[in-house]
Amino acid sequence: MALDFEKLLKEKMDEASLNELIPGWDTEIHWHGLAQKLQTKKKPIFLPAWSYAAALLVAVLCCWFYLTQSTNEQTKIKKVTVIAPQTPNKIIVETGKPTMVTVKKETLIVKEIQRKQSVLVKINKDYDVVKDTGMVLSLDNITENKQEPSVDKSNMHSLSTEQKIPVIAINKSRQHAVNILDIENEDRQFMISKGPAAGSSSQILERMQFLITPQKVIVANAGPYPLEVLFGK
Amino acid sequence: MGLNSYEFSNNTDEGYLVKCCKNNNPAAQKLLYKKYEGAMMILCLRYVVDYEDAKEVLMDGFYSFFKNIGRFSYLGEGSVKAWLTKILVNQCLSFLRKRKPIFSTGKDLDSYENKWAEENVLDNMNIKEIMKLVQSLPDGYRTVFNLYVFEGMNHREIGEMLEISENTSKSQLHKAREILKKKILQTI
Repeated sequence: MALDFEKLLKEKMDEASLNELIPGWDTEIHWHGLAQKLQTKKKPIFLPAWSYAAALLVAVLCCWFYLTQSTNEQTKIKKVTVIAPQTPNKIIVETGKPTMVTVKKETLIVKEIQRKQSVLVKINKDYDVVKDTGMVLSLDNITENKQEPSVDKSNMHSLSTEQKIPVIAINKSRQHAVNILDIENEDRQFMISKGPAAGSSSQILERMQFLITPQKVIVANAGPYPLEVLFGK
Repeated sequence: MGLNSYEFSNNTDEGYLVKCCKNNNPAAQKLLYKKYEGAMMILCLRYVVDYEDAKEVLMDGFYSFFKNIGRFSYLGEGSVKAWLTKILVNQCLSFLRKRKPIFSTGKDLDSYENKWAEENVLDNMNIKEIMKLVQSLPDGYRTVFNLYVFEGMNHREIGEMLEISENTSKSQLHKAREILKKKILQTI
């Protein structure tokens, strides 16, 4: 509670005039100073033209550097075919037993033991968009077998709106299949099949290239014969 | 009368002046400045003892007032003064905080007691003497005393504003009163 002398103090202070307290006080001078300060507008900050050019140049350089690096990386991956010393160079995948193997950027070769047929398996960048697990792919159009494959159009699978891979009607009981599941990116699963229509022993069923690292893949042998998985070419 | 008209008088409605100030009308700004300059300078001197410092705080306070007047809603007579007072008190506290900690030990009190000169009884004191009496309080006591007595704040509000406990505020006020009473009684 305020004391009496405090009330008196407040009253006196409220009634006081500035001229009584500071006789020489000049309102006009002080107002003039304040008015000048109030009228001073902040100048908008304009960067010199060269700074925009410099920023653009930096952006272009960054893009160029990024693209160059990406291209180099791709080239590097394509060239690496040497067996990594720490990885086993041969694995036998028994029928119906999925086997996980670790590879490093090199080409994975899956051989069908009974037929002594080499199957070169690479993961192609173009197939990165494939989400449809268990999709059956056959690339007869790139094999030595010029025979026109019979195409079941109802099973066409799109990789993009413009690119379609023909799927051959296969007698499934005789089908050899290699399922490659990239467990680092589980939505990428490929099933490369070879049916009667692609009977050439030297036929390359599929070429894919690993563009993503590290590679841990599951090789699942869905066919009747064991498979031999080799690393490197 | 348009908002950009320069025809104002001392009787011009304060709400209208505020409206014009929101449009950066210098004449309206000047009128408001002149109206409250005295009371605000006295307020500054109560908190900031040094004359030059008080002047600087006053200018900064008015500058802040005019720059932020767009956010101010005029609520009738007295609302401008209340808002200005709030701004100026904050400016003073900010100034005191920058200079040194407001609250210190009782050393200030001892030095203060030695400095005190003779004063008349409050009733017979003029404004200069009263100001001198208030100004001679140590910073911490003076700030709490000013907020409590002149700004009419309670201890909870003072505690929140100065970031001190209510008890500290009470004790600072008590000590300020003790000093003032002592000095007033000494003059009788």
